Amino acid sequence: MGFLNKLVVSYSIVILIFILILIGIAYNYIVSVSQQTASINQSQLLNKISSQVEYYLDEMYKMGSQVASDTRIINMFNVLQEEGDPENYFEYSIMDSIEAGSILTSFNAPDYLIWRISVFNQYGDYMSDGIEIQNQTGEEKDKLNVERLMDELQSQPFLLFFQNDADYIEEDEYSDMTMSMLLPITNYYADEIYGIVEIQQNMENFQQFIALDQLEDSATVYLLDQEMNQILPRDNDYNSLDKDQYYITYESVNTYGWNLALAVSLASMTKPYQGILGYIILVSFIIVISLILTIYIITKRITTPLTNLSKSVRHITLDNVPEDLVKDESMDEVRELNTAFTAMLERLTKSLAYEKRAYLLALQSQMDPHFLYNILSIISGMGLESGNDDIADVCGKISALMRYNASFDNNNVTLGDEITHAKNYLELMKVRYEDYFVYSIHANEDLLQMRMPRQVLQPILENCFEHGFKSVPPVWRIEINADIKDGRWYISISDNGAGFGDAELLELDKKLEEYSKNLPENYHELKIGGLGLINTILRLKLLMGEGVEYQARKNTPRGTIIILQEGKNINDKDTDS
Amino acid sequence: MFNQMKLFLILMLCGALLSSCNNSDSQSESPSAQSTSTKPEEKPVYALITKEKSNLYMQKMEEGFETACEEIGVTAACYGPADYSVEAQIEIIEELIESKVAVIAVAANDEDALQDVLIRAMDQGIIVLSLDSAVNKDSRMLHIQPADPEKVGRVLIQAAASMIDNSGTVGIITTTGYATNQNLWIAWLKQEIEDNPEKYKDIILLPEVFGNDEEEATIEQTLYLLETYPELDIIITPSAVSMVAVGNTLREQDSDVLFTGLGLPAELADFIEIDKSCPWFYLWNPIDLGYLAAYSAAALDKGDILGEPGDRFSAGTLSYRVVSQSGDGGTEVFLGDPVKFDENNIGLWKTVY
Repeated sequence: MGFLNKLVVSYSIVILIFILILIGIAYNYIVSVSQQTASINQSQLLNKISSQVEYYLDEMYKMGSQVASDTRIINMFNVLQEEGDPENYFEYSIMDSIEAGSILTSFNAPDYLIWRISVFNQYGDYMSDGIEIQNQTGEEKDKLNVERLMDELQSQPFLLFFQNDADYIEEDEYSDMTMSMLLPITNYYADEIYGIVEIQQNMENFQQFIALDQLEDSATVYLLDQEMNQILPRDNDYNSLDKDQYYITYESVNTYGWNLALAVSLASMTKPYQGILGYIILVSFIIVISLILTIYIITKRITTPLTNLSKSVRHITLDNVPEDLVKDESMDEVRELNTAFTAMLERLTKSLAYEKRAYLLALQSQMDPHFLYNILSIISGMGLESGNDDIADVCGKISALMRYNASFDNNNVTLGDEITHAKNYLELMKVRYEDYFVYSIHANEDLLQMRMPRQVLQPILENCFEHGFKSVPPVWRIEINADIKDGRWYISISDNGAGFGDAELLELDKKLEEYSKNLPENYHELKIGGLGLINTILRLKLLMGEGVEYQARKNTPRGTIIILQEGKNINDKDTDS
Repeated sequence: MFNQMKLFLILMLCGALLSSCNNSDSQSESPSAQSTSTKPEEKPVYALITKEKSNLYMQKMEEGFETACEEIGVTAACYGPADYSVEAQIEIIEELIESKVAVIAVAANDEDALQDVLIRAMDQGIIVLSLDSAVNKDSRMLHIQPADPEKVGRVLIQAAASMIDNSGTVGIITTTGYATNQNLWIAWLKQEIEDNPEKYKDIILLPEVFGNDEEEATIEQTLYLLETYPELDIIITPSAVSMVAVGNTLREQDSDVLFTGLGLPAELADFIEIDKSCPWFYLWNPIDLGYLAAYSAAALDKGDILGEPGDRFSAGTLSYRVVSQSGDGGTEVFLGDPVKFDENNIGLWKTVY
């Protein structure tokens, strides 16, 4: 997958996730708002229904009170109570029957809002007005049951019954579920109950009044009595309702202790918002597509110069470095990149030039020793022919010395190699200065295989002859010690030359510090011989870093001691050389 | 030639007398014309024929009939003659048969005179029923009885006796000798006296006189009773028209004689509230009577019932009703007990009917 595609896919995924989160938040918000709105609406609706229920029952109670307080009814039932005749008085007393019926119907007229009004007592006296039932004579009334009701009405202002409870009255097979409110017909003064007024309403009429049938299909109102027994609806059990799928609001009908529960399915609550949600999803989809296209265009604009740059870099050669890698520099970042690459290539070109020159110099320097080797070989032969073995020996040492110095094959050598090389050099010096010069070398066997840079010791030794011994009388002495102390290796080169003055030691430290700051930059300026000691130390630092420490101090009674030793804070692997 | 002329004149007269329920424009239309006008709606036509078109009681009956027809979804067509003529009713029925109405409900001016035409109507597949005043059992499929005639008859004499403390002379002004319901009530009135001789031992019941359901005739009969029987204490009249005429006559004569019977609260409220000449009277709700007739007709029309005793049907706001055997051997449906109108409730009822 290309860089462009990777970027577009990555950005698209991020945006898609972001949009999905936004849709999720929007959906939750919509659901939350819809639930809140529905909750308010349901509360208002339930409150309205509650008021209607209360009004309906109030009207029943009002009607019952009017009938129960009618003096004609009271007088009739007072007399009937005293007579205690088991026959239904209203069956054989036509005039009183019609009068009682007229009283009842006059209360209910002209709108006949009450389904049926009945008056009766425990002796079977019964009269009703309103919807006819088959058994209107009251003969079926259970005397004991009516007495029980009359007893209950002694302590309660009214009783409420439903068809299932109203077993004291035999309903017509056509009658629907009814609810009855019973009130006592009493003597105000004697506080005696003469009979009962029954205000009976058809539940269908009740449902229509409170407009339950007007509710949407998704909403159901449950009417529960004081004991939470379900009154309405008859075909939908509240207890079997899956409460997780419905949002339910409760309200009580204060005066009568009834409870109302309005259950609205959650699905229907969010239904009005489904359109909006669909719209949001559509808009989000369009936004996502637009953003992806935009990202593609922008990314392509960004990556095209980079790709071109990449192609240019891939095809570039050090022999052919163009001035501008990318032609289109309309973007600052690309321009910067181009500039940086160009600068880098310039530096790389210069470095390569240095490297070429160094390589040529190295080749040239390898050419000269071969010529000298041949000369030395001739001299050595002449010495042997003339019987002077020393000449041959000297020539051999010089040859070994030159071969060691000129070798580019292996820059890292062992301490043992360096010691051997130093010994060759010192032997040559011994040949020259004979008894004026003595030297000693002591090396710990354990250190002989330690890796280190080539030509560390010789430049220091050369310094002894170049500077140290020039101004002092012989015998000149040099001691080389390589050993281990406190777990760290050290190499000390001491002489009895003129030694460094304090100013010279400071100058040496200063130069070391100065060159150490930018070692690669200054390396080419160091000349072998000119700054041999510094060269040697810098090379050591260059190769070994903090793995090596340098120290130069005065020897006693005169001379210089140069100490190279393992750094204190260096790991073993850093001291690999 | 004479017969043809007579027929022509009768037809002309009937045409002029025919009236429609609530549409003044249609009053001059014949039933056939109206039937034609309802054809586009393709709704069955339920026709009601009252005893007389200007009778307030009958008009209230029409009101209930129309309401029920609207609820049922049929077209109500109400007709009534200008007087209590049975011939006019026959003519109307004949027209309705021609119009192929679905239902004919009639408050008969004569129990038997309508038999031929009503049987012809039933033969044509028309549902025939009577209301208020019945036709004989062979002329109908069902009768809508406003109240139990026995109860009505007995309560009338019971009330009258109560008003005069069970002692005095009682006169009766009825409609005609052919009025089915009035005759039945008076028969039961007399039966009540016969059944309770001890209770009515101080009651003298005068022979009934006929006011023909007409104001003038009733006034004449009232004056006749007042003049003929100075000891008269109370007049019973089982007719709404007669009740008003009797009340007005007693008022004009400044008589102490009381009266009671069957009447409309709207017409008689003053006699209870002001004159006090009528302590109370009775009547059923004529609106409900018309309403029940329409629903009964619909039950027959739809085949829900056959008009047999024990048949049950829904009567709208009046709930379920049961068909029962009637005294004449036919079947009937009761509206219910009559309502007693007195000073306690006349204020309410006079606004209703």
